Amino acid sequence: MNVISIKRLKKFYNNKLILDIENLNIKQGEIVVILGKSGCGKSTLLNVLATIDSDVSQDSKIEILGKDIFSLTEKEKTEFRRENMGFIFQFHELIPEFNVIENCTIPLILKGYSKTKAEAIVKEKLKEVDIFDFYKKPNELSGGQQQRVSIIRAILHSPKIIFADEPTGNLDPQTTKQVIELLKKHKSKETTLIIVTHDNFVKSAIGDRIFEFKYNKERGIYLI
Amino acid sequence: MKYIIFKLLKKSFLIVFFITFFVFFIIVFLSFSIIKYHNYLENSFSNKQNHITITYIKNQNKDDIYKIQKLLQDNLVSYNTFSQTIQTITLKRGAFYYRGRVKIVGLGVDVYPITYNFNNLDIRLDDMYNIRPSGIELFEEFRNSNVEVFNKTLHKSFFNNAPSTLTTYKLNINDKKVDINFGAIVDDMKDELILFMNIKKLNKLLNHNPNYIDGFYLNIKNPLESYKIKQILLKNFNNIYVSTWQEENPKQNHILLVFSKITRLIQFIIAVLGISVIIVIFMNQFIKKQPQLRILNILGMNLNLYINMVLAFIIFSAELLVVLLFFKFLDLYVVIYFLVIPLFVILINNYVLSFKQNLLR
Repeated sequence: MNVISIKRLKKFYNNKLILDIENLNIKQGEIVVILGKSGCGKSTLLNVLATIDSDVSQDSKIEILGKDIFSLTEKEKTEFRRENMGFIFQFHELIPEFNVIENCTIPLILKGYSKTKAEAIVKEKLKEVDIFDFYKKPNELSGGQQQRVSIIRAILHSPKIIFADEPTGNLDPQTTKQVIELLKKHKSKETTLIIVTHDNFVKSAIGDRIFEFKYNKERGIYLI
Repeated sequence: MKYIIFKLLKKSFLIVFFITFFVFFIIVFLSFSIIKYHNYLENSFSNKQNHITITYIKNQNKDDIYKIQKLLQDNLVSYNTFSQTIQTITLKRGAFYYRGRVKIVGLGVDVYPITYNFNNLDIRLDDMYNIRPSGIELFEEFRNSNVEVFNKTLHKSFFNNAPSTLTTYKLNINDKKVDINFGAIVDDMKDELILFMNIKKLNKLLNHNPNYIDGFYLNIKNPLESYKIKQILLKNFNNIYVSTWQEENPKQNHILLVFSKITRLIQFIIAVLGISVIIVIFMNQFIKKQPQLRILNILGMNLNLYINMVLAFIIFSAELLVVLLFFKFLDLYVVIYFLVIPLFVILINNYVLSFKQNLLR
């Protein structure tokens, strides 16, 4: 079953075509690695798929979980993300004012869990990834710890798709391995994982399918 | 959801609250100080003079004079009878002599509410700036607590505040040397020298000189009360001239008017600046939280309601206050406000719109 189905995607930046993709499907439970050099458009593609960026050409059509994402209103997109998506970012994007538990409970509370129940679930999961400093603020944790917290936040509410934008981009090789293992271990079979990276190690370590952006000299654009 | 927003924006709201309180305090404090200084200025002008002057035509019917006194007493107005003349006199001050035109005011010692006649009392100076009751006055006051003594009344009333110059002179008037001390007051804004003395002594000195004016000095500090008494007097008597101190002192009145306009302008500027500061700080707090709000939005929090509420509050408060200010000062600065208000509203609206568009990018 296709979770993501890109019928047609064209995106322009300053009147220059930067994304041109047709007929690309991603199945449920797949781990897809989107590879490419910096500036090739892989993060832009991720943002479009994650319904964060909708500034695409009018003839673009993408279906995610059977819904045409460009026909959704802003409110519907927000709710769609809440219900179906999890996010892991290169710079972790944890909220600095919140402690570890509070950061991790956000998706659960947004889904309607009570604060107490959400905290109990989060504590259990954090222990599994060796995080015991529940009440520390993000800036008191190491980069690897922050990324583990970020991963827990992304998977806890059992999303159908997890988007990871350079999840190891800011980590040393040792921590990168740990993070990859963590993603493999905690991702359920039904969850589709889409990782954007420029790190070849990630490709070989985790990817079921690789989409690589390569430069097309004739058209002057990076294409998959 | 509310818990997350509250947790994230708690400090921002506290900061805005305290700054709003601080700005509001400054606005109130400055406005209060300006108003207080305005009142002080007004009092310092009015305290040095009679608040209302009633002058009547010579050889006035004694019944009419009695009726005026009766009306003043019925309305509980403190007053002094006076005679006034302008004379060319020679004054000796220390080793220096001064010859020139001086307004001499003889003040009646019969004062309301209880009249007690101290026939030969002069204005009595304690020092350069203080009028004090004499021994005989104090004694009479001691015998009867209702006695309103002449020098005490003067001290309490319009000579209360220190005039710019107040000293004792020896006087040579109508080529007669008179061995008498005067309190001399140079009124700051009038540019004239005024000498005050007992009315009976003045009448004796003038030796039935017809060139003087008679009437009453009324001591009413409340401007509204003053206006009311003036209207009553004008309604009841045709053959008197009634003037307030403001009318007799256009220079002072003009200063007060200008000051009053400046006061309102300053209040307006302070208020607008204050409101602008609050709004900018409020929005800056949101701009500071923009990355966190963006993360929450990506994670699935619908922030439209909160953002719209905050923005609506900002627009509403800014525009409402400006409109209120507009109506408050409508009479004075119509032209300025017609230019300022639309500009202000457009600026705020544009700022809010661009702020909203950029917030979740």
